[in-house]
Amino acid sequence: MTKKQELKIALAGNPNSGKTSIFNGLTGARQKVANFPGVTVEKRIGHRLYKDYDITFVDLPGTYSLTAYSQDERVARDFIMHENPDVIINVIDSGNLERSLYLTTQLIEMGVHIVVDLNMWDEARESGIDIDTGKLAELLGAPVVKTIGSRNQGIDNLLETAFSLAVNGNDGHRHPPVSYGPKLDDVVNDLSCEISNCGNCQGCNPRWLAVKLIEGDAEVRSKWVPPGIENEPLERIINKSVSHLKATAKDDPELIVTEGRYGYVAGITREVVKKPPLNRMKMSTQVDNILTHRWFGYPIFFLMMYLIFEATFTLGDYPMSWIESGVAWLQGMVVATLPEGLITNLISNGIIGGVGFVIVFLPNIVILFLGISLLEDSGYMARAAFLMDKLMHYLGLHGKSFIPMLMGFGCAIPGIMATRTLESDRDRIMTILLIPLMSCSARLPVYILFAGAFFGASAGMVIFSLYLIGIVAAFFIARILQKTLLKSGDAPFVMELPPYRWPTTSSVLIHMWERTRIYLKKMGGVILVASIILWGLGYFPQKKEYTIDYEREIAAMQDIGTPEADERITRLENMKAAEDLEYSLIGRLGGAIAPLVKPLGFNWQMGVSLVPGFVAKEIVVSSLGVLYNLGEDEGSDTLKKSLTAASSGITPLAAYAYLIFVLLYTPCLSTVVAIRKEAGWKWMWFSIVMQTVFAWVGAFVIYQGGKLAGLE
Amino acid sequence: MWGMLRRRNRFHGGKGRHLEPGIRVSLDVLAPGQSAMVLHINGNGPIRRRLLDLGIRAGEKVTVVKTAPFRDPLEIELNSGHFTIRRSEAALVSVEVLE
Repeated sequence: MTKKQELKIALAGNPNSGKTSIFNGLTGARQKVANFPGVTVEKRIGHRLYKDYDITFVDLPGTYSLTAYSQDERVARDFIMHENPDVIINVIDSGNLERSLYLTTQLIEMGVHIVVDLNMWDEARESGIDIDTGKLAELLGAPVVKTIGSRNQGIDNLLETAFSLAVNGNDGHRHPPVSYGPKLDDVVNDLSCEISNCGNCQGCNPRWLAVKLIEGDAEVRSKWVPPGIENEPLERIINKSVSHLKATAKDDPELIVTEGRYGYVAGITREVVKKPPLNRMKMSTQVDNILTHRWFGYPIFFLMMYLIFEATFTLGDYPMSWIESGVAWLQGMVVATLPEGLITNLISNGIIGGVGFVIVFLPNIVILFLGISLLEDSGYMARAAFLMDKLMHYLGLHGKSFIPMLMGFGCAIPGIMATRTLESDRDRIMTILLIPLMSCSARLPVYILFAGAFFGASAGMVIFSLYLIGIVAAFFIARILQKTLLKSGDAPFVMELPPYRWPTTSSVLIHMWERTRIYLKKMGGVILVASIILWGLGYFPQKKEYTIDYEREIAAMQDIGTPEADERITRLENMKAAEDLEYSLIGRLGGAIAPLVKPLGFNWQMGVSLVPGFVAKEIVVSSLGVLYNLGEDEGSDTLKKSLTAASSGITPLAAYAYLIFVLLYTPCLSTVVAIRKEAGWKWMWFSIVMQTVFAWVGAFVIYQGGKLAGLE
Repeated sequence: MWGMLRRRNRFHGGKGRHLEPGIRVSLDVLAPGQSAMVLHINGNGPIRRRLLDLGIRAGEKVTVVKTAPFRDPLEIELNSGHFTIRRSEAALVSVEVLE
């Protein structure tokens, strides 16, 4: 064989069946994550060379069924139907055979080759279950393999079985058709014959199509039997079958089919399970007696959240400051070695500064996703949703939304990335829109500066009130969105609380690495480009004529060389920087918005500082420093004095309105990029406009309301 | 916020009272620790589908294990698996009390 032949093998199975660990075992680290076309459901793809074949493995989303009701199920179903995988490995939690086989029967019915993988075999054995695998293989007409995914056992055997099935076919074995009991079988058989005759069944199994049509699957019907003259005879037959069923069974067909399927599955289970499991949830129930306890549940939950939060943002602070000083060192090197000018400025401030913006969040992302994968793999995430659902449901959200929102208090970007744990698109978008309102750590320097300068002893209260206002604003916006753009769908909450399990190192590491790569690849580039554009806005146009001839003045001072002269030089340089900033496009933009922020009580420096604040909130403070001719490195005490000086015209009320504005408007460029990546352009613009409008209205109400109330 | 607290007492006097065997009720009415047999799932669409796909179907024995601290959602045990289900979803499941 000269050319590598290709095979495509997909993994399907219930959530919590250990599918991912099997996938990792099969592919190792040779995998990447993409989205399924048109949706944000993740598609993990891996490769393996085996016996001169290039095998592509695709990890389908974990599902209990293959209906059109949930996006995950639709994605899995469409993949099986349109991408024609050579084999599907059906990963099953051996301790939970009956519910798992419910999906297996649906896969069989779709007419694909399957290998049944009895995973977590060790756990099942411990719980006392014994399964006759030979019998199971015979009844399903499919090979059955035992594996222990967490310990990488049985993977080779699974690979070889799937491989030989893909290459050799089923050796004449065929899957016996799923039987729904005599009454329903007759109807299904008749209808599938008719379908075969009518030729409506391109690329699918007639029996599967018949069952779906009886169930009343609207998506399948509009696809294979679209309304039209040529389909009228078939439509008549379908309608007749359905009404016949309704009349005889006095129940709706969807229910009858489900009952029939369960009956078939229960029959198989009875035959193959030699010993039923003792309570496999025993240990988990005991753990849950503490972890989801009426009184201890919340303290433990919040302690865990606190630990993850602290690890992400406090522990993450160290590598972050190393990265920051590394970037500053590099910038210093560039400035020192290259001749002064446009290119040097572009390299040091635009490119290196931009790369700095990208990688500075890496420690946060790595640590947070370490925490999240521990929560998910151990089974605690489902308990977190159990504990928090009441509160989140009030916002029209799922209990799982709590963790991403909480992370928003540290940094919106990892929070937005963490919304991937949510199943429904609507919940994901809603959560993404609310996360930026959680006051992130980058806003704190602005709060500290203004609250310290204007409110003295009550600064703490002022800062606390801002956090609270952010949360209240999120509640408020959630309630509005819930009634307008993001109506509560009837997405079900009901979900499994899987047994607690020890997370495996490899799956945690792989998960962390995936997130990091997605962040660097999908977001890094955009943030970099945007940073360079914003650098350009701050650099151009270059000012030629200054109010003072700074260069001559500075040169004159350098000749004197006393400490006083040095001070004067710094002052001159800062004045020049302020003039540059004012003259640049960003400065002009700030000047242009001055009339807009006047009703909020902001002076022009405050107005201008909001524009670079769009890049990152930390820049607000340094921009103010520049605008007040203090330089970026000037101690904040001096800046505080300048802000509170009578000449600045800032009243405490205006300062508070400004803080409200900083709290509520778009937090930073990187967040915007994250929103675009996770929710799309439309929601990105929606988020920017909504937050800016909200910030303006909030500041307006505070300032004008306060003035009316005589607080000025 | 207050709606959340007010709604608390809507379900049969707060704590979920112990029901006599044989009574037909909806699942959300059961007190923690009580078991029942599923008779029927009402409603339609995605929620019924999901309940069925998880194995919550006629003839199965279901036990309410506990409720979350604010009494919603519930944790139920069924066919040796544990599930969490909102009260509003459990209200769709009619059951016959067993013990």
